Amino acid sequence: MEEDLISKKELLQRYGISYGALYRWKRMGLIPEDWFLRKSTPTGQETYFHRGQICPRVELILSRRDVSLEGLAEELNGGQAQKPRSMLIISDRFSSKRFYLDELTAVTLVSGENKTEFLQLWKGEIQ
Amino acid sequence: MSNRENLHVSGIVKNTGGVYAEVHVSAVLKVDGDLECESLHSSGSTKIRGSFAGDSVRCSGALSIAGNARMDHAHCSGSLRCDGDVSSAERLKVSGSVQIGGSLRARETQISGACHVGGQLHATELTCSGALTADGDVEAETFRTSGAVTVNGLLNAEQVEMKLCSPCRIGEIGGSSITVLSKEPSGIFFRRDVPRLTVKIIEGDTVELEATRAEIVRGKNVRIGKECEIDRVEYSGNLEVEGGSVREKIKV
Repeated sequence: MEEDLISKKELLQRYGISYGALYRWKRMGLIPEDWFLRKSTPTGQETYFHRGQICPRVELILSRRDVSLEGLAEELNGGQAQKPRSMLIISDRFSSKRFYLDELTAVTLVSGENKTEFLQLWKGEIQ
Repeated sequence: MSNRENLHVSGIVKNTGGVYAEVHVSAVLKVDGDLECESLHSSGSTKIRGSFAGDSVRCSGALSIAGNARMDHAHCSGSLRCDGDVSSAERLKVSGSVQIGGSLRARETQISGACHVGGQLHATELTCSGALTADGDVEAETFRTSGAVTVNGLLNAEQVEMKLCSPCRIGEIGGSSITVLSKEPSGIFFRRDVPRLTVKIIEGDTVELEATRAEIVRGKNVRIGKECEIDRVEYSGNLEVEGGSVREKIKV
C-alpha cells in the first residue's frame, strides 16, 4: 500500500507556519517525536509525515489559538497525565518509603504459615 | 519527616542508604541502596549503588550514582557520574566534569566544565562555555554556547546562539532564531584555520551563520557570513551572502 505522506516543506507552505513554530510544537509535545519520518531524497534528507496524522493535528493547534500551548499539550497528552500513578506508602516512626504500584512485583504479608498476596488484589481494585 | 538525622562521614563508611537531612562526606561513603537527603556535600568520594534524591547537592570531590538521580540545586566542581537519568528542577552548574549515562532534564543549566549526556537533554536555559557532548537530541528554550559542542541528534531550541571558539559538530539544528558567530582572530597568534561548526541541516526562521559547514540551510531570512560553506540554501524571505560560499540557492 502506498503511504500518503506529506513533506515538511509542503506542510509549512500549506498552513503558513514557520520552522520555529513547528519545532516549538515538537518541543512542547504537541507533535509526537515518532511522527517525524526521515527519508533520504536526491536533494538531501527530508522529513515526512503521515498526511492523515499530521494535518488534523496542525489544524487543531491552529484553531485553538485561545488556549496556551502548554494547556493544549496537557489536553492532548491527557491520557497519561490525567491518570495519576498509584503509590504505596509504608511509614514507620523514622521515615516513610514510597513505591509506585506499577513498579512493584509482589506485596506479601507473612504470618506464621500464612502468606497473603496483596498486589494482584489491589491492582484489580484500582483499575 | 522531621526526625531525619544528619550523616557526617569523615572516615570510611558503608551503609545501606536511607533518608537523611544533611549528608556531609569528606572521606569515603559507600551506599548499598538508595539515598535520599535534603542536602549532600561531597568533598570526598561518595558512591551510591542505587538511586539518589536530594534538594541541594554540592560536589567538589567524586560522586557516583548507579541509578537515577534527582538534584534540584546542584553544583559540581568535582566529578559526578550517574549511570541513570538525572533531573534537576532548579539549577545545575557544572564546572568540573559530569557524565550522565541516561537523559538529563533540567531547568537552568550552566556548563563551564565538561558534560557528557548519553541520552536526551532537555533544559529550559542552557549556557555552555566548556565542553558539552550529547549522544541523543537536545531541547532547550535558549541554547547559548561558546565552548565545544557535539550533539549527535537534533538540537531543537527557540533561540540558538553559538560563538565558535572551538570546533563544534551537530547533527541537525531546528528553531526559531539561529545565530552562529565565528570567533574574532585574537591578534597575537595569527591562525588561519578558524573553528567551525559542522552540521547537516539547519532549519529556522531567522538564520545567521558564520564559519559553518552545512549541507542544507532552510529558513525565512538567511544570512550566510564569512568562512561558510553551504551546499544548498532554501529560503522564503531574504537571502544575504557575504563572504561565504553557497553552491545552490533556491527561493521557495
